Amino acid sequence: MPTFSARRAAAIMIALFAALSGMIGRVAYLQTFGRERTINSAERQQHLTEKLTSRRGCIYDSNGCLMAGTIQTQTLYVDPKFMQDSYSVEGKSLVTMDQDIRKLCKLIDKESYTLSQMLSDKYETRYLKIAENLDERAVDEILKLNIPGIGVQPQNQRYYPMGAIAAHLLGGVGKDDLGQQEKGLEGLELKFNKELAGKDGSQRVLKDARRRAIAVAAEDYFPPQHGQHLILTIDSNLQMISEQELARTCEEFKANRGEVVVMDPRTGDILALANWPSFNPQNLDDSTQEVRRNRCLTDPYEPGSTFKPFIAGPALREHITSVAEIFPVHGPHYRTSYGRKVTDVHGYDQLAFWDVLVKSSNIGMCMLGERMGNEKLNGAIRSFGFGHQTGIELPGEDPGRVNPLAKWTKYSTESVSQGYEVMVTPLQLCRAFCAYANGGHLVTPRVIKGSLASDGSIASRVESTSLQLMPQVLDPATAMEVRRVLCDVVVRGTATRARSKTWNIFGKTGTAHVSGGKEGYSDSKFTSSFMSGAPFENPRIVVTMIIHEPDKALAHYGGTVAAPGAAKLIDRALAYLQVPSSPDLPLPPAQVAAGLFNYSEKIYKIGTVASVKE
Amino acid sequence: MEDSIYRLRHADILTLCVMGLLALGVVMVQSASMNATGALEVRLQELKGQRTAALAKTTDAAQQAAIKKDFEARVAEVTTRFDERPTHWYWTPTGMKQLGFAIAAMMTFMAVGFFDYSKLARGPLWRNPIVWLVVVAAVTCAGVLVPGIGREMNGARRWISLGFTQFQPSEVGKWSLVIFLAYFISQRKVRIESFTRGFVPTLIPVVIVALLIVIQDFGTAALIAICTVAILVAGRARLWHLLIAAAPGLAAATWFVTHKAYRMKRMTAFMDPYADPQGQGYHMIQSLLSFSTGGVFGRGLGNGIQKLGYLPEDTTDFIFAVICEEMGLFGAALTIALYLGILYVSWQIMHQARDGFGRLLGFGIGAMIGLQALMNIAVATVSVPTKGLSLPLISAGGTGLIITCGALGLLHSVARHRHDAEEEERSALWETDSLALASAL
Repeated sequence: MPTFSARRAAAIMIALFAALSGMIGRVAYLQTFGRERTINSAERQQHLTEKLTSRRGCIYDSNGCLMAGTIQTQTLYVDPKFMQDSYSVEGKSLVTMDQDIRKLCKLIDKESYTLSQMLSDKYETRYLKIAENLDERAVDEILKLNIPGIGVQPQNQRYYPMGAIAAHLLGGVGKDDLGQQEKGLEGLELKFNKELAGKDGSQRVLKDARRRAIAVAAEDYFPPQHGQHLILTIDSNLQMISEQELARTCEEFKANRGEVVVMDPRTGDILALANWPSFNPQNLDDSTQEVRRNRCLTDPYEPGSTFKPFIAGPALREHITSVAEIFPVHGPHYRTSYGRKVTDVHGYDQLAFWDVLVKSSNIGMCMLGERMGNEKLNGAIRSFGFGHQTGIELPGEDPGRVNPLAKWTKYSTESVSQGYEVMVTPLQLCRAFCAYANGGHLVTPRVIKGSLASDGSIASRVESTSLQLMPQVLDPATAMEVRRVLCDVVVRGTATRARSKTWNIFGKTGTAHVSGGKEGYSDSKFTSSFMSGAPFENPRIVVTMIIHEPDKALAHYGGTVAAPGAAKLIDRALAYLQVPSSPDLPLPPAQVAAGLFNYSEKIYKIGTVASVKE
Repeated sequence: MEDSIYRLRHADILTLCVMGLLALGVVMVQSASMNATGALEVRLQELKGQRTAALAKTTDAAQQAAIKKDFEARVAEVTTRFDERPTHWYWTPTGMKQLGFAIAAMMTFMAVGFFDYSKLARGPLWRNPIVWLVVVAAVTCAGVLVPGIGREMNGARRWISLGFTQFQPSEVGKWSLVIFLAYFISQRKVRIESFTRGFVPTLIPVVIVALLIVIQDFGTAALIAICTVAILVAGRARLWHLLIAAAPGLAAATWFVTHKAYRMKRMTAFMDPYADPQGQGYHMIQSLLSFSTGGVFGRGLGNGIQKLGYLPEDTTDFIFAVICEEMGLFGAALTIALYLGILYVSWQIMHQARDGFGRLLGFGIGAMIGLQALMNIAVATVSVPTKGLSLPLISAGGTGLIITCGALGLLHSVARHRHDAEEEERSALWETDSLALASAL
């Protein structure tokens, strides 16, 4: 009897053969069709997609000084569940964990008791923020502790090293809807948000079971594109001078608010632009939306007498009048052909057109306006760009208001001649006045000089348009003539307090009644403004200072409120720019001088009259 | 047919398959241990070396105590705070050990192969080495259960420490039973057809050893049970005898599985591993993820991700998943082909061995290797419930490797010492028999 059955053994062997071979099929199935069920959880388990935060670009002034920058701080977070699990898996008691937490707390300045409490309270959460704004050294120390379940996340923090300087220009940032990325909310930060923000990158990290990064494949690495840096035309020193003078003036006269714009008339560069009251761009929550309005370009107002040069210039160019022409004003009251009453502050019997501007005679301007007619008036003010946006690279610019010609009435003739019935922004005013300082060209104001790529190479350069290519609104001779006339405003006109000992300033004051809507013009609320440039021979800066609603009990004339502040600003700015002191002013032509009111040659000597208020 | 050519060929195929599997095992164990755990082992070994060097320098007892204390503190620190990852290739301690064991196992295989297996079957029962082997196996299996002798690892008490190394008595038990069954059934005095005089005496030692093993290692016990049935079936035991014997066995096994909820859960978890992804299903899910991560082409040798702490038992029970992740379908086919090669040799031998003992031995050893490989791969591919079984010749482990190779050496020996003049005729008879079977199939 054989003790072995080959049939039975063969059957078993064949079954084993088949089963083992079948396993190849099973493996093949798991690797192909069975894969679809598991590949996603494998991906989730083995990889971690990290966001690589881009860095927001910086903003520099024209000298290369940092006005807005970004520092990267680290946020420390913890996964309490993972932490406690790891400690228990490694067979360590919770005592070890407590010791580690105590060490950690020493580094982040926190009570270890509070943190332990927090960790046990939020045991089930997988993400718990425990410290923010950590610097790199602290993070290094913390990571050295090697506590499981702890991680850091970089976070960008915008900061403004100059504090509140240029707040309205820069604006400010806030968290976006997700609360992750910084987003520009105001000013340049808003306007150039896309360029500044850059683009976030990402990487897909292979990690091991303890969540430690192992490797990043090249095809899984998308580096972040950091934001571009902006270079402004703003000079932070001039900006600071402007803000100081504006604030001083507003506080002295208890004004409601004030604006100042400083431009380079040769290029249209905005050198400084300020509003009072200001705010801190570092923390927008501290200020209201009202305060953050950049009123230099968002809020038009009725300019009053400061508007007169923009009618006088075209009138002289068209030879409608000449500076020597004598206007029979017979002040202080004047009745128009239809019986409207126009009043001057001082009553003069006769004034040369020169003095109409210098003394700011409303009656004289009305007479000129009547001579010009509505159509020419409209053409004159539109040629200076009023009623249109200037095209500055700042958000929320208002075009101002100039009625279409069809809507002009007989009242308009006198109103516009005195600077009413039109609304202009301080920026428009400043830009238009540049035409008198640069020989009649209408410049385009700009704040951006260029931008740098994140690596420091030049990304774009905004060349200032050559003056010759800018639209010519006045011929150089007329511009020069009006400029000379306006020099007399500070010498013997409405703004003698604005006279400088060193430089010849030319300017025009304005004292406008604030319109109260239906109630008509207020007798107690004024807008005092001074529009000026210096030095006369080769104007380097144009300054427009507007003070809204100064306390009438103190003063309200443009010549007393805004002019001294603006003059002080000019003095300091020109000293900073190292502009050579001016020679004596050229005397007015003899035939003009003959008709001038209380004329004396002595008064034109530079430095003889010290009228700038210290 | 030239006998000499055949004789050489079967033994050589077996040698090649064993060498191939051992080599694959060394490579894969090394690869699977190239992770943070492997790096930690290296660090611990460094520390041990430093301690030994420091101890050798001084004879002062106080200083030595200080050194020991310092060493313990550093070990504790390293184990809790370890954060190093392998950055370059080096031999991991596990890989190094596996290489040493593989070489030792290969030498065992060759040595046993030169020895004539039939000498084992001589002599009376009480002086027979096979019987004594079973006795030793039973004693050591019982010894494991004694707390002082048995050593616990990964929550299971399966090892006995021999000082320089540890060994797993269940391995010895498993193979001793295969050899014993082949020997006992082929004895002329034993009539396996008889229930009381053949079947039951054969089964008694099997049951004793299996019962000792089942307490510590259910997987191995199940493997022994299935393999015993296979050998008894091939050894012409009556099938109804087997049914009678299997009934209480099955009942006991069913009770064993069902009376503890966690065992039941473990048995059914493979149906839906995602029901308890962090608990019972964890091993299976991680194994499945290995297959999907690797795909058909694999991630490349050494590039596995799942071994980085995700896949548990990556050098032992689930090494097949690592092979598939890194080498894709090719790795799976290669591994299985090598096992099929052993099965083929075993098939050939069981037809051509010179006596019944040789045939049963050839069959039993082949079946045992094949079954264990099948069960391990089935577990790794989540085709059956999880059992703690290693992949023979590949999984990390010292004694298992050497003992398995010893058994395969017997197979080798059967292949080498096949022909005897008196057996030639019968051998021809077997061949026609199997040919008839093949044509019938």
